[in-house]
Amino acid sequence: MESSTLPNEEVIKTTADIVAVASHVDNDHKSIEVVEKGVKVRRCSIYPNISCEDHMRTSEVGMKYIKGRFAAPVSIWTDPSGKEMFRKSGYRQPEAFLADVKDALGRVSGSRISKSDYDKQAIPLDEAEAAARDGKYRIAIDGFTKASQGSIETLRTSATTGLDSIKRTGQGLLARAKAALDSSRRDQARELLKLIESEFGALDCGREASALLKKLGEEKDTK
Amino acid sequence: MNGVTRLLLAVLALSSSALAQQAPAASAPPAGPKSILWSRTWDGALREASIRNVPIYIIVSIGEG
Repeated sequence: MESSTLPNEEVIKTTADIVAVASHVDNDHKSIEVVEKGVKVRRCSIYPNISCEDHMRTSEVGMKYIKGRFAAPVSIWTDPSGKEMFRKSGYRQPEAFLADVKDALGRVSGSRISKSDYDKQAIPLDEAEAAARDGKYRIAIDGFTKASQGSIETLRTSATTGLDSIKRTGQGLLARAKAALDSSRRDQARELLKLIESEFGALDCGREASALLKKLGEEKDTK
Repeated sequence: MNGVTRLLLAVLALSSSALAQQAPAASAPPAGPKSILWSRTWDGALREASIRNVPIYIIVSIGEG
């Protein structure tokens, strides 16, 4: 199945209408080196947009649905909440797989959001969350701001929450810088203010840090 | 250098620059093959499916396939 159905062009196109998860337990197959956004990365040869570490991690998902021994591969189809709708055992040729997609889509009623519309908002949000975890606040602010302007309310709310959290971090750092200034620890204050200016420049705290740095520079010049 | 020569040299320079931009470096790895867009995490898959209101496909597999 991995070698015939998954790389099939019609299958790839059609799966934009669903969400796909690879629950693949081992990594005894090859990985490949590819370029993504100008950066060399290693990707799985079977599931080429993710790494083997990714599908090893999501291998736990299959065990939520299958208990005990099973004959691989098994295709499990769930509704949007993760509740199983049906499953198929064994290899699925492209035609059979496409019929499964149609069957699954037919069982989920209501209006849908396209993958491209979702990604426009979800990708900046995910990148912002990762950047915030790594302390890369400038990138995080940019991503959260983009995601907060999208039309999907759930993602907008997550983006606003993320942005608020970063604002609090920036304001906390600014308070520390001001405290350092008040107690004449000017070098420490200057370092903090430079950090806030560079990482939080798009926020009020960043602009205030910039103004304080300018004032510090002017005071230094007059001495 | 007359005007025609200058023009020819400019065209040649532009052409070689365009070729250099089009041709990938010999050592650069290729862009990844076309693929189903697999979710990196289960939580991400559930979030996307519930927001987009679409089914989830899980392939449970082992080995080379």
